[in-house]
Amino acid sequence: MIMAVFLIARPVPAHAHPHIFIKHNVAALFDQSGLTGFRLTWRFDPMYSSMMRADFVGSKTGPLTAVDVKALHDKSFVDLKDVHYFTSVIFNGKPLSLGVPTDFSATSVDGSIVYNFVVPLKPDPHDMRPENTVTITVFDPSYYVYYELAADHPVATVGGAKLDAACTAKVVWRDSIGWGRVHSDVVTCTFRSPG
Amino acid sequence: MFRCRLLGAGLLLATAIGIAHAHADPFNGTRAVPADAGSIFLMPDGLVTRLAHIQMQLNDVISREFRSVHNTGSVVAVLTILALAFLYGVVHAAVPGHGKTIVGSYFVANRARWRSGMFMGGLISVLKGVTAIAIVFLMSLVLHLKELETANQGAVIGCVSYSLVVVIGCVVFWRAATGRGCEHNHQPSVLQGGRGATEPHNHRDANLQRILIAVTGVVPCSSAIIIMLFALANNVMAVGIAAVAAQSLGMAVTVSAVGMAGIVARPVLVRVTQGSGHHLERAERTVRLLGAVAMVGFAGLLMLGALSRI
Repeated sequence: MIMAVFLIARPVPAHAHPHIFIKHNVAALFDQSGLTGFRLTWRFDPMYSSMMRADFVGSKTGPLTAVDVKALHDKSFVDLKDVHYFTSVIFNGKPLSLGVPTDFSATSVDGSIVYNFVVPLKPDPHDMRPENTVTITVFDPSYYVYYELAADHPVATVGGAKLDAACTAKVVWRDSIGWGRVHSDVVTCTFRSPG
Repeated sequence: MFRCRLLGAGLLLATAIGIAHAHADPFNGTRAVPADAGSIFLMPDGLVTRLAHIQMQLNDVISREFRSVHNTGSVVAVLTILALAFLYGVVHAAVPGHGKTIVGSYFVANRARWRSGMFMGGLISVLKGVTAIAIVFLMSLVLHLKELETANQGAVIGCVSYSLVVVIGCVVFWRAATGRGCEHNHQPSVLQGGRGATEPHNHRDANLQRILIAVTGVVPCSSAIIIMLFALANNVMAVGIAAVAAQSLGMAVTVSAVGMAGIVARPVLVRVTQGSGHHLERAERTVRLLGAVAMVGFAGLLMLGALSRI
């Protein structure tokens, strides 16, 4: 009987139900050599933003200072490497490891803390094809953090016009840890190899 | 008064450990990695996405209204907050960690009137709100803990509390197995329907119910703490307390509904069990054992889940 109870149960989420809600944007970055990374924008929900502000920011209201941004980066953002920034990238069918994020900035917009940073990528030249497909997912399988693509300009391409780069977003089913199958946004970008 | 001492010791322990530990939140600077340990309950596909989306929208609107109360003192905004907080409670309690499964399985194990189901679900939810408010006062205003740490105290208290529920479940199991404290055939049959069913006639059962309410209710709901902290940040503490109260009532609706589902399910389970050739008394005992095992199982899973978050 005890076995039966455990059989209907599933592996546990590390945390209970979502307590952080993030609306995000994804921009694929290109230069003449091809894909260089993604610029990610995360807009935290106002309640969680308020707590972040209380713990890491010197002021209660108004714009964030350089000191505030550094505090958010050093005391909070850097730890996200342990969870790979909740971001996974697949290039032409192969998982691609993320570089250390660059260009981190944080702003306060209408009561929300907004992170903006670049995840650099270096696809192996051997994996390049004439037509390339890269997908990026920002998703927390434990569902402590709930990600949803922003309604405004959810996806974009920067500097990829010559490579005919284009990105589209769609919703897919994905297994979560303990919450059954859930919906997750996936951004798929295509581009030609340069030259 | 052994049980009072036990309960008191448990709560003290929970508070002490709670102060000592911060929870592993990916953004709060504790550098902890979310672990994959433990397990939780089967959720229908996609349900949690819909619930999360609704919660996100409610979170947006509620916080906007809080700022509006702060800036203009609008009464309409206060009423909007209360209504939305109630709705938030109903939705939020539908996800694991609010005592539903424990209440449900308790009532599968123990015969009770539907009023008891409503009462227990309601009281647990109200207690959760009270604990949330108390924690914010203690951790944030008195001890000046970081807000993100304050918001995560539930994990530690939950771990201790769910361990106690496991013990209570074992007591229910032991009583069922040994035939102590359970309703015997001198009571009106449960098969006569809801009106025939009796309240626990045994004082020990009533006491157990009270302990279960206290132990489960003392686990605060993180969302209530977050709402309270947000109200404080906007200097509208009274509205925050009212909002947590409204949210607790909302949660009470959901948790009570599951409690009553347990009460309704019990006679059905007894009938099914009896249908396979058992005597009524044996069928009752079997269902009681099943309910107790479910209680231990659910509480154990919740405990493991909470443990992985500490």
